Amino acid sequence: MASAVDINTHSTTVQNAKDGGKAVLLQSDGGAAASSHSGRVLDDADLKVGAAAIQLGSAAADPVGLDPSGITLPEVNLPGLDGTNHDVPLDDDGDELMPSDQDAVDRGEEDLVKSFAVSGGSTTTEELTRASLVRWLEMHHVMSRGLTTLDSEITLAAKLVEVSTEDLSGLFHSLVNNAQAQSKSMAEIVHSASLVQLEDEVLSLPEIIEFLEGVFTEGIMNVLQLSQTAMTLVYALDDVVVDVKEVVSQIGEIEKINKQTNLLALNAKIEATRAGDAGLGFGVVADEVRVLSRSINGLAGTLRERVDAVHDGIEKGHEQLQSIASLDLSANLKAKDRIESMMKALISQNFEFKEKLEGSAALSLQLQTDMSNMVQKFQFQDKVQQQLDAVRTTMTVLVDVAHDLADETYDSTGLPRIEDDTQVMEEWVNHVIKDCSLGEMRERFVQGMLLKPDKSKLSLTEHVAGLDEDDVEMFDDFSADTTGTASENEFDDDNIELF
Amino acid sequence: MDYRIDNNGGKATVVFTGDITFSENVSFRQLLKDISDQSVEVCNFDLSSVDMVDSAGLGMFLIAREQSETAGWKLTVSGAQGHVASMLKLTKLSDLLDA
Repeated sequence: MASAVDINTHSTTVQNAKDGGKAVLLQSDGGAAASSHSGRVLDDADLKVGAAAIQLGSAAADPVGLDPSGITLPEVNLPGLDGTNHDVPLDDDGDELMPSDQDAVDRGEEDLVKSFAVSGGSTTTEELTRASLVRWLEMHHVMSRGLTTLDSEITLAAKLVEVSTEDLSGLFHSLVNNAQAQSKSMAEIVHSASLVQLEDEVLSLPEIIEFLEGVFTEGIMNVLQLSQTAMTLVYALDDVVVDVKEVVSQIGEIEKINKQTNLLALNAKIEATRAGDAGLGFGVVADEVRVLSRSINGLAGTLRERVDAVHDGIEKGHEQLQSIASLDLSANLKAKDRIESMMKALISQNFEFKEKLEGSAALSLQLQTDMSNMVQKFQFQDKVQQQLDAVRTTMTVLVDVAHDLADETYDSTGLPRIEDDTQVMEEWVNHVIKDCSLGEMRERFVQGMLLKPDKSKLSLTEHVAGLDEDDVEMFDDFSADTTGTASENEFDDDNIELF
Repeated sequence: MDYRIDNNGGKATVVFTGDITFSENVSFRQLLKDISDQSVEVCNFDLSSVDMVDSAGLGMFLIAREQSETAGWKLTVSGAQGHVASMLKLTKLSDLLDA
């Protein structure tokens, strides 16, 4: 690779022959930097990834037109070159974008001072620029590792969102099914609340009440009809009693006449005896008349006995009819009133019960609808996944761009490759992760950025796989976590630490 | 039970006092005889002074109604209160007798 380094106090220009003469300009004071890929030129597809363009550093124009999507690289500072421009590069919000803690800055300045001292106080501009390029390469190394680790973290977070969303969606689906079952049960209860199943017949409460009232009224009417009949019989028997009394009176008249007849026959017998032989025949007639009189008297006595028996029977019937006709319906009246009251209360209660059940069924249906809507809302996970994929793709492009630029720097300057396990790199890593309070993520970051990719990757793989095994405790023991101190929670055993 | 018949040109009113029970059946029958002896087109039983009526009394009302239908005059009842009104309502006699 034929490259030329034109170093002055404000800009560095690198020409890459492999790009067929395409010039790449690294401009330190303009806040803009751009690079071409090794072996190919960036195009729109490389940089237009995702819906949002990622802008790092200042928004200066791309001098070579490689950034149609608006992506610009961070401003590259050359600390100590101009005595004023060794501040740390800042992003749009003014936050530090790369390692720039005071220790690192001091260390860089100390290196320059040492270099200056070694050269006998005559450090050249080339040496200062070389030191700055070393710092740039260190930063690139750390940022490349960091972006790779962040890519894994984004994958992990996306997986967590996916698994959790699926779990929640499943739970809400279960809730919807249960709500549907509940609504169905409610509807069945509402339907059967006012119905009674009698073998093949289904009766509503009003029908039952109407039936009972009809039976009760019919019973009352039967009693009334019986009373009327009894009173009619009573009046008829009263008439019979009058007739019987008349018969008895007539029998008395017969007995009275028979007694007179018997007395006349006796007188006739006396007179016949007194007449002697002339009255013998008359005496026989008088005897026969007396016999007839006694017979009639016997018949009258028998007749009186029978009529008296009929009279006694009528009197007993009269008493029985009285017991039938004189039923006191007061108890029935009270019973009917109470039954009617109970039935009305039952209907009212059943109506209220039905109203409340219908209300509950409506609420259950609303709950079912709400939960269905909530399940639909879980589709946000797809959108989040797409956005995170876009971010990851953009990050990959940025890493590739930085790699290419670093390779060009190595090639053009001949600087040695940055070693992984060096004190300098450890300081970079410590600075990057110092504000990372999430214990597990911090650990993975350390593994990834301290250049132990195999171990880190294994951990991430295991972790993502573990998400399917429901070992992510999102809410369990939340109170314990919140009440514990930060140091207690910093290195706990949870696979995921949300806060 | 005592009763008084006020006949005003065929429109008679029988004012009852006391209870109408089985023991009053003879008096009630006499009442029916008295009504049939008069020229009555409409007869109203005023029950406002009646305190109690049993099923026999209701049966006698039905006999009176039967007699009215036979003799061609109309029977009505009025003034029933309390227990008497409840009994008429329970047996639906209030409907039959235009109470």
